[in-house]
Amino acid sequence: MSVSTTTASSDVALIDLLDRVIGGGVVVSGDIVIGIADVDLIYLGLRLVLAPAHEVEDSVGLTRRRST
Amino acid sequence: MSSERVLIHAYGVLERRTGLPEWPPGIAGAPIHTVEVEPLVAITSVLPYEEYEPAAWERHADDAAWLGSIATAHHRVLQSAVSAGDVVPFRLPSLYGGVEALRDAVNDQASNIAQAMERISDRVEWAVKVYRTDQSAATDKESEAARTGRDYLVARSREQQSRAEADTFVHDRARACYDRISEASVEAVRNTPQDPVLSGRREPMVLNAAFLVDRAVQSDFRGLVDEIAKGSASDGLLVEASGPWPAYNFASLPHADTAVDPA
Repeated sequence: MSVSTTTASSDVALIDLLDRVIGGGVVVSGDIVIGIADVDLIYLGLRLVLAPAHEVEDSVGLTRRRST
Repeated sequence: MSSERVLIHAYGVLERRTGLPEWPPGIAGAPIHTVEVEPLVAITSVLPYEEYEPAAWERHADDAAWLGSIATAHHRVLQSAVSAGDVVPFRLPSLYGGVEALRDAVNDQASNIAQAMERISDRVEWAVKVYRTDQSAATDKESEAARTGRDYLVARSREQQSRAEADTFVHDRARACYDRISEASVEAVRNTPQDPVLSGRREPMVLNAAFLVDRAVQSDFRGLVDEIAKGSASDGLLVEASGPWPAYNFASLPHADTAVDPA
């Protein structure tokens, strides 16, 4: 298995971007303040929003496995 | 001069001696402007106030496309910066009422930023994810084929035991990968593995790690990960690396300035 080296933004999963640009980086609050708590809520909300995009195929598999 | 109200978005800061890349378009296609905040250079864009003020963020709280486009542009700019030199990324959102407010905020954080800059100097971030590929479909079939109830129970118990053993094995192997790769890096961090629903991958993620790597040894680092990836395939692990990233995981400071252990 070879090592992939893409970090061009077009090839990066949105969740990887959000984890880094909202979850990481140095906090330099400006005078236009969006509270960290608010940002965390937006971030959590987005994680939920992102979920359905991949959910359909996986949930079928999971449901089937659970019901056996 | 237009009197339209604007915001300054700051992507991050560079040291002044760092060469500048050819900038890609910023958020919403806005051009990049650099602002000197001695001894640093802030990477900024000017954005229309109404579209990016705090209320706008609340309005778009469940709008993945909106935040996704900001995150993508923010990253794209930082990615081009890191190709030219060290950059301390700012956490989103990073908005200021004007250039003076940006200067004040950067000056307020000067010591934290300097610490972050020192920490990531001549280094970049590499990500390594390990997925589990050995999902035991075979044992499922085995138990379905068992005819009697007793056979079923025996098979089922065996299956559970072997699954538990397989879980332990995979997690030990993933941990060993992390430990080995850590030795080739300056710092390492394990983040929570992404849920398959979010990663979009069928295989469960068992390791989601980031490593701070000296720029000079990146090819060795990649060689090591490649070697580990090849050696792990037969253990049912898929090892993937990506990078170099801006040092997102190593620029934030909360755990960096804790008290030093007396030991």
